[in-house]
Amino acid sequence: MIHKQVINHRQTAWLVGSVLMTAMMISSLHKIVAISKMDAWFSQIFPVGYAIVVAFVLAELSRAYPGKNLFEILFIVCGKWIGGFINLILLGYIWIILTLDIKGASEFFRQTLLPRTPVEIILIVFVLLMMYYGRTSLEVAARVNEIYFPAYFVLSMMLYFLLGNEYNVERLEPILSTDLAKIFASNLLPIGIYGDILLFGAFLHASTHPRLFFAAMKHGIIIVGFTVSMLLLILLGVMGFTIASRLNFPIFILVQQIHVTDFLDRIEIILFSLWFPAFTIKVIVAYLAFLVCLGSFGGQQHYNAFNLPSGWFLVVTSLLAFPRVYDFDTFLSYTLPVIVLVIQIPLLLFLYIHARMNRTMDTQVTIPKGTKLYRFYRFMVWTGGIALGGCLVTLVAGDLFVDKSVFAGFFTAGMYLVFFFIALIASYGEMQALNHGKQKLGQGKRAGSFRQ
Amino acid sequence: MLFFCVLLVISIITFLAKRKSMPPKQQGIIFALYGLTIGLLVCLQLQYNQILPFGHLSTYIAPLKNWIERWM
Repeated sequence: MIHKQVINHRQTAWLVGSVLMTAMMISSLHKIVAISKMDAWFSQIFPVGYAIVVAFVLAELSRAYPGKNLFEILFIVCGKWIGGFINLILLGYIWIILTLDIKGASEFFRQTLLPRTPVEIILIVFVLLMMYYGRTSLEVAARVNEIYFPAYFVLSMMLYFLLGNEYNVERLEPILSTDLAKIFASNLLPIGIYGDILLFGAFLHASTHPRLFFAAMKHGIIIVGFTVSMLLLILLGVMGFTIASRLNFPIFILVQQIHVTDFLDRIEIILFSLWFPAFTIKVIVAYLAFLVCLGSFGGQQHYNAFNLPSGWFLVVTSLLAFPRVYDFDTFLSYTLPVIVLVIQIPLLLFLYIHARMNRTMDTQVTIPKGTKLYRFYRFMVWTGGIALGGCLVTLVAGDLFVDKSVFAGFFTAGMYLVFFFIALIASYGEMQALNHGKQKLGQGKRAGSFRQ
Repeated sequence: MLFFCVLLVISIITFLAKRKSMPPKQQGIIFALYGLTIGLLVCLQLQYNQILPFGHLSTYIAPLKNWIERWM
């Protein structure tokens, strides 16, 4: 931790993508489908908005307290005892995320790919892998993620073509016929997983350009929103909402439906061998955040000393937690969103007010005003905001005012997807503009965008 | 489990050997983690070992769960 590390904006965006997207693949999608049925693919817009707000507050904190992570900031702002208490709650929250992921992944692999292997063996091997990465740093995880996340993203998008022969668009109809309240309820469930964006608070001390840090996180969040919407669209088009809502692991069954040719019958093995490392990166980020939080209690810059005891502790607690898949599923769908909202909203509101009062570092000037690049950056920011707003307006207007004919349904659904895609492109443009601005100002030759 | 216990014992012995060079706060945290691990490992050997409250938390948020499941 003491040595400098280099994590650029693209690695940050892809790490956010891995952290948020892979966790959703295990189990949470079928509850969303059960609630809003064939319109479940509209369930990502509120969680995306929520995660962007959290990322914004983290960037503000990074601007107000440069070189400090979330846990250190809490000790500074709240003092030793109250700050310690809040950090203890955050430690518990990260522990819940870790337990949920480790046990979820172990049960998933036992029930799908390794039915004869005891869950304890899968769990211990998984934790040993985490402990190996715990000896390193976020930089190593970010570099490994650069290999697996693009492959995972491309394969997720390719599912549409690989499953083309199984796809029936009639299973999506009538589009936007579900009650708006149901769509809103289905938007609440993914907040539990999108709340994992708070894990990046543990690495705030590594951010030297808060605006670029925010743009990278925003881009990662929108990648997740768009990809999960597309995956839900494919899931519903292939299986229909009745089957998809009754499966514990719908994405696994979806991938099993790929029958391109007779000799390419087990494509899920290839897909899941790419999915597993991407998911591991997510757990490693959470584990590193856990170690950094423990390190802040110990007043130590080095967290390596806590690696072994934390790993063994997680093995035992994961064995004890969530005895059945049902418990895991219920917790992920209902309890985790409540925990996220109860912990994060008051905490972030309080920290945001403090951050505004203590802002010391003005990094809004990474691009000189009046230049072509600055105009492009402003255009991208506005386009992204308008596009995300457009998604919301299309959803509400399409559900309330547009008639339920086939044409109107496809028109509003198409508009929603186009707006989401524009938001994705605009967030990429915003991130790139800020990065070019940084390079032009000659700051690019520093030790990377983010140091840890 | 035997493999896990062997690894745990080795890491505890390593910690005890190295602890003199560690700051007291760090030692305290590591002691707490090992203590919790051993305590929970003992609980794991009992017949009714599901002691973590994750499953019961859903009971406290039952109104929300009922509200969401109303739509299913």
